[in-house]
Amino acid sequence: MDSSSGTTLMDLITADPGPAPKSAGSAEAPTPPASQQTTGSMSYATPATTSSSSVSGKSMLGERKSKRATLMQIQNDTISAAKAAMKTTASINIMPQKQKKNPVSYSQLARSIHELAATSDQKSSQKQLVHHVFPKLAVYNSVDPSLAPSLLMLDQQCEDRTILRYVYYYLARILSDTGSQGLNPGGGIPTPNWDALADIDAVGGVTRADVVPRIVDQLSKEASDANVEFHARRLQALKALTYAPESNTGILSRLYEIVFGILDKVGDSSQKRKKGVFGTKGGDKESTIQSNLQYAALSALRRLPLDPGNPAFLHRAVQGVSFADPVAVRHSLEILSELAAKDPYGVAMALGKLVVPGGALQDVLHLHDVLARVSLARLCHTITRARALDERPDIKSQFNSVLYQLLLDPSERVCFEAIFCVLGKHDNTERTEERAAGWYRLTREILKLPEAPSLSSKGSSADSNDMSKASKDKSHKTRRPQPLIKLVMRRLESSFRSFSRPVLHAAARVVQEMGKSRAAAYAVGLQDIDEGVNVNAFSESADPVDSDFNENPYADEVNVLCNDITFQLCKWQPQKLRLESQEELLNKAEVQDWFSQVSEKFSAASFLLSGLLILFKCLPGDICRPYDESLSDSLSRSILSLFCFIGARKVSAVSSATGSKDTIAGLLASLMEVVRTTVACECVYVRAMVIKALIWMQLPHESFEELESIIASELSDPSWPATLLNDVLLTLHARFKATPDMAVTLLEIARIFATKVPGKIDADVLQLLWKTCLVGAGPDGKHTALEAVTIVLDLPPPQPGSMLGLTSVDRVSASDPKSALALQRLVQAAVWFLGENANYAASEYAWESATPPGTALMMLDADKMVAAASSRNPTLAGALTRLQRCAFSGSWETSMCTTLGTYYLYQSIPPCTETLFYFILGILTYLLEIIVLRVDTLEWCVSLCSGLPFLCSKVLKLQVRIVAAQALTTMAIRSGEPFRIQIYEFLNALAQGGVQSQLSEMHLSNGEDQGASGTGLGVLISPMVKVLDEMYRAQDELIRDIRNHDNTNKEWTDEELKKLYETHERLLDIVSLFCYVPRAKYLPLGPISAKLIDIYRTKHNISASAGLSDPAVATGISDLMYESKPAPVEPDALDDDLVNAWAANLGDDGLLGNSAPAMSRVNEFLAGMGTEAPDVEEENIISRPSVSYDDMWAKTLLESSELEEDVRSSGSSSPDSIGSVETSISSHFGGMNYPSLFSSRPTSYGASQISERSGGSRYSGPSSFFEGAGSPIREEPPPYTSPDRSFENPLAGRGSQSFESQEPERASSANPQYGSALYDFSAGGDDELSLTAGEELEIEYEVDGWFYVKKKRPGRDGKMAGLVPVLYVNQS
Amino acid sequence: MLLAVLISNSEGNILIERFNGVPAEERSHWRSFLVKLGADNLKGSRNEELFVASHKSVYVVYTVIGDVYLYVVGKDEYDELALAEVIFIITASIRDVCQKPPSERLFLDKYGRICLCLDEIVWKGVLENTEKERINRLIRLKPPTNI
Repeated sequence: MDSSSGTTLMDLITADPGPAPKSAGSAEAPTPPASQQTTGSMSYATPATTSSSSVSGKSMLGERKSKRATLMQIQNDTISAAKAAMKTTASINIMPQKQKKNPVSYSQLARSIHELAATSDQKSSQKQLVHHVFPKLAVYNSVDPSLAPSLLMLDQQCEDRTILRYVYYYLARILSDTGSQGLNPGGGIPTPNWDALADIDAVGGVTRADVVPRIVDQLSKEASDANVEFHARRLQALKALTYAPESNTGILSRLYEIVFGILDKVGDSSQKRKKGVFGTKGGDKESTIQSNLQYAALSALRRLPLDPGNPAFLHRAVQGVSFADPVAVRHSLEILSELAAKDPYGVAMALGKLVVPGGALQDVLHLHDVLARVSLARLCHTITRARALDERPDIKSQFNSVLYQLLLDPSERVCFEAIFCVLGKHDNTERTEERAAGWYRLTREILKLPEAPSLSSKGSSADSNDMSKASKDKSHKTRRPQPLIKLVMRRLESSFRSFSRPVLHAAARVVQEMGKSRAAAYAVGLQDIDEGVNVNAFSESADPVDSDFNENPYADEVNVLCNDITFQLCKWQPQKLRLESQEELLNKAEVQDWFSQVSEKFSAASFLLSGLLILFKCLPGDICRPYDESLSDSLSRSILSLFCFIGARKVSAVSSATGSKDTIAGLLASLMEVVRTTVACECVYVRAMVIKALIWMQLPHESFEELESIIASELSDPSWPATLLNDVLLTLHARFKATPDMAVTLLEIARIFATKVPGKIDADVLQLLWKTCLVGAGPDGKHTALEAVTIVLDLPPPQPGSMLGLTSVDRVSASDPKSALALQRLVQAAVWFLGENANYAASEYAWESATPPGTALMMLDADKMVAAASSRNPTLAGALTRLQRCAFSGSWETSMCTTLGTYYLYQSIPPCTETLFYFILGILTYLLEIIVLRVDTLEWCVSLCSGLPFLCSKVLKLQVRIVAAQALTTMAIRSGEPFRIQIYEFLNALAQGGVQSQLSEMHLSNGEDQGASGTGLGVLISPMVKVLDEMYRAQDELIRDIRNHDNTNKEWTDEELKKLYETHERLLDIVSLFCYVPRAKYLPLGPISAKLIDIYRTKHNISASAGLSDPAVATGISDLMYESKPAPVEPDALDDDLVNAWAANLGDDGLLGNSAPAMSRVNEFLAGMGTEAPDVEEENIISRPSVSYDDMWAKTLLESSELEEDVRSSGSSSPDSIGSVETSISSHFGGMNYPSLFSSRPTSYGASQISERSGGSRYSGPSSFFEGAGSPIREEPPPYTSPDRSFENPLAGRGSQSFESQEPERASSANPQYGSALYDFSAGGDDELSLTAGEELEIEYEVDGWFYVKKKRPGRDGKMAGLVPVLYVNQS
Repeated sequence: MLLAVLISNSEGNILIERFNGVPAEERSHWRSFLVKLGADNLKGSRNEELFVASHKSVYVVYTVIGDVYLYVVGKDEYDELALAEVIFIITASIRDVCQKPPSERLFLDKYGRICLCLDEIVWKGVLENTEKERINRLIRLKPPTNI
């Protein structure tokens, strides 16, 4: 093992004298493989030396060496792999690599053990083992089986107890080691898979299978040894045995045998423990030994699998309750509570007398073992709710009384468990009824405790102790029945005053569970529980604790302090305080009044206030620095909660004075006040739990403003991790499931999340919430639901620079690129959601069922129609407007999403509501262009391929069909094969089917074209089909020719090449009629023609014409053809800019009325980027071998394609003949527009108002059908980036292996891209790189919105290269 | 189930880890989650001041003792309060073994004994011994209750 991998944690452990074994000693080692001899020297050898020695080996020794080399290799691999994994995923190292003089390798330790085991009778050896070898070996999380013989020898021969303890420890490790690929359950430094090493005979050939039986034999012999002097070792042997994997039935049955054997002897001891005495000290020897054995046996039993049907098992577990050893009692209770879940009747019967007062179970109440009492609570709960025991109410009530006594337990853990049990929470599978019954119990039960339990005074924390003492004192004093809820409330309130975070967290969790039970009670109709009823109706007068407000000596002091603080707060820079706090302060001027009333109890508050005041005065009020903000944030939070607290106390004081405090509602209100103040806790997890509790305690009819404001102010705290926020969102979801009435409230709350922290929340989670709430919400709620979703569309696009400013409450804090991405996903989710659920918006309400016939004329005026539509359904209109805005301002991914959303929207809107058609068409036409230009990812193409044919064949409006058909054709031309053939098939079907259906359905149709009939699509489609026909025919010919040439090994003649070239040019001409294609790059005959055409061009000196290289097209096409996975996401910045610029300029185009400027811009654009376009693509194209690639594609596609089937069916099925009143409109449009097929948009079909609305009329005049090659096409090139993206070319890989290895390097080194950092960026992970604004960078490659960049010189953190967000880099 | 006991130094290097019932592929996630929690919150906190975190139904309680950070992870009956008990026992034993809040060096010097202590406190994902003296006897191979 070389030193770099073998010296991890070891380095830090003093390696001073070191075992330094002499090689001579190794002869005596119990496992004396020769390999051991040289391991010491080998362990320092570098891998190179190791391999060289193995190469040179000829003899046996050489062979062994090679095995050893394998061992080293494996060990190195495992460790370094594990370390590497940890470095990258966890950004931590196992240990820093410090160079020590004496690193101790595993092999050295192993060798030392072998040697020292042989001389274990010598003191020095023992010392070595105890102080050096064993502790260091513990660093490795497993030990290899070859150590077992030495360990067993030590076990048998050694007397030293410390050595023996280690021996048991390691034997247990060997037993438990499941050998799972180097990482075993023990954790620690990863160690190799020993068995795998043993198989290759590298560690002396010892596998676990060899040694485990020996170890088990030895240990079980010791575990059964009844010798009294031996019993300490017996305990440890038994313990080590339990580590054997449960899958080994042989060992398991042996263990059962031993455990029951021990319990047979000691379990039935005649001498029971004295009442309430645990852990006897100074008892007689026999009983002590007995107790120890009982402990060991039960501990082992606990680790064995449960055996529910076995009476012996149950009997032994029940016996355990009476044992003297507290740990044994705990284990037996744990076993029993698990058994009770399976067989409550049996357990209850077996426990029999133990539960009665004075029985062993009652003793457990005084046992100082928290987990034992927790198990007792569970046991009691399981038995009391068991159906099987319905006929034995006496037994149930006995267990119930034990459970209620546990409510008074000094430990929060036990008390809370008891509350959980009362509330009906057992595991997470309980039913609503149980929960509801739990709430009923909690609110109704009056505790009539048989006696005040004498509580052990040792509590887990000081304040709980006080509390329990207080309640104890009281119950001693009064002995009157207590309402359960009051007890619980008081306990909870006191817990909330704790300073321990776990206690606060747990208390909030209890409140959450309370809320769940309450919600369940409401759900099953127990809501008529009158929470106003006085809980003390049965008991005597109200508790006087909180009601005495005497003269207040501190009032003046507090008043002065409060004034002072308010003054300071006002001086405080307003923008640095959260809005809420300001309002709160202003609104709560009466805060001073409260202070004037505070009693002496608030003297503590006055101290707190004075402390705050000092803090305020210390803070610089005029300097804006980020840390100030967080400080002021927490300050203001604590002040607020203090105010809340004081206010609550005041309210409760007043209400208690009037006697209404003791209603359930009153109790809950005061508890909730305390809960709310806990939001001030600085631990974000506690706060999350509190918020969850508040959400659960929220009732539908209550005002949720307070909750809303708490959440809103919490969310402005940047320290919330995303997972926690999503967890809270899921809580909202669960809350909705429990009480569907709350849909609206919850949506409002979810909306806060969406607007405040869009970057942190998971779009999927939010969508889930929307979905369920929308489905569950009533008619009124739907409005809110849609509103809540559409609000997301209003979120402003993130500004990378905004992170420099202060995060204000109202602004979206999507400041870093990661959250910007998340925000984008959120917007996309919202759009999808709107589209998919538009039927709610469109059909379920507000829309009139049919347009009155008289309005047919009015329908011509789209403006009015839209206005009418909007007034009828403002929600939907709002959604559409937002969609539209999104489409125009967002990045193109968002735009695509929007299109599809719109498309779904269109699908789901009933036919009678076609007034919205104009909205949609405007967006569609625009977006389809973007999409056909940017067919970069398969995913979108697939969606479109299913969507567009639908639009073509089914949609009533001709314009949509035209646009869709155009889009399809453009896609067919510009994208690669899987789509082209599909579209081709579809268009064919449409053209033919349309004609047929026209004949058959003529009489059905009331004037509107239904299929692709003569006046409709038929005319339009046939030229498109012709083009595709020609392309395929030419390709077929080419492939045939290539085959012929290949077969005959003939060179291509100039004639042939010329013919080919002409076909190529002709096709180019035709194709460019339909859409813009870069002539130099486009290959209508497929990539295989590239080479030939190139040859011809070079021969005849034909230079490629305009549009030198169009990376957008090249990448678009190549992506489709050569990548089966979606292309990496484009950087958004560039996209946004270009799209925006484009959108902004569109108005000009429209106004000018011709497309020349657009064309020139296209060319400028292309020329500019063309110079930078790398040669990689060229290489790839050239390197493509002449294989009929397209042929292959076509074959596979023709054979099976579900998509195609769909397309075909939708194409040929006769369209629904939906009655339409819009004959006039359709003829109007039909007459006007369809000839302008090759203008990319239909012109003036009444949608002009939309285009105006969207910032400029992009709809220019019609262009004539045949304008010849290179005609100006109004479609502009897409925004594109990173032309240097090297794509994967499977053909290149197949054809030339040598290319493969060189290509990546060449791609990166030949085309370095440079840029500079726009902003400061601090790395968030190991693979990221910190930037300082202005730094020069070399961009290596891009992945998912990140650049991998290199710096010229290392930064402050010493790193040279790493990932940075694309948005932070200005590409030069 | 006590899912994990993890001890790291203040730089996030893991000194001891004991996972129970955590699949191997999840361990590195837990490691980084815990180490990050410690790095975010434990700097400058008092000795043995308890911190809490949760992830779904799994609870984490963590603290600092001397130079080392200590995390325990549990679910079901090992909720935050039970974990607080567990961490209390572990810190008490570490204190006992090291005789003071340990520096990293001291901790590593006592590494073997601390491992044995942990072995007595957590046995196959279940809390075992809770008393300091008892643990002390057991790691010296003496019976839990004195004769």
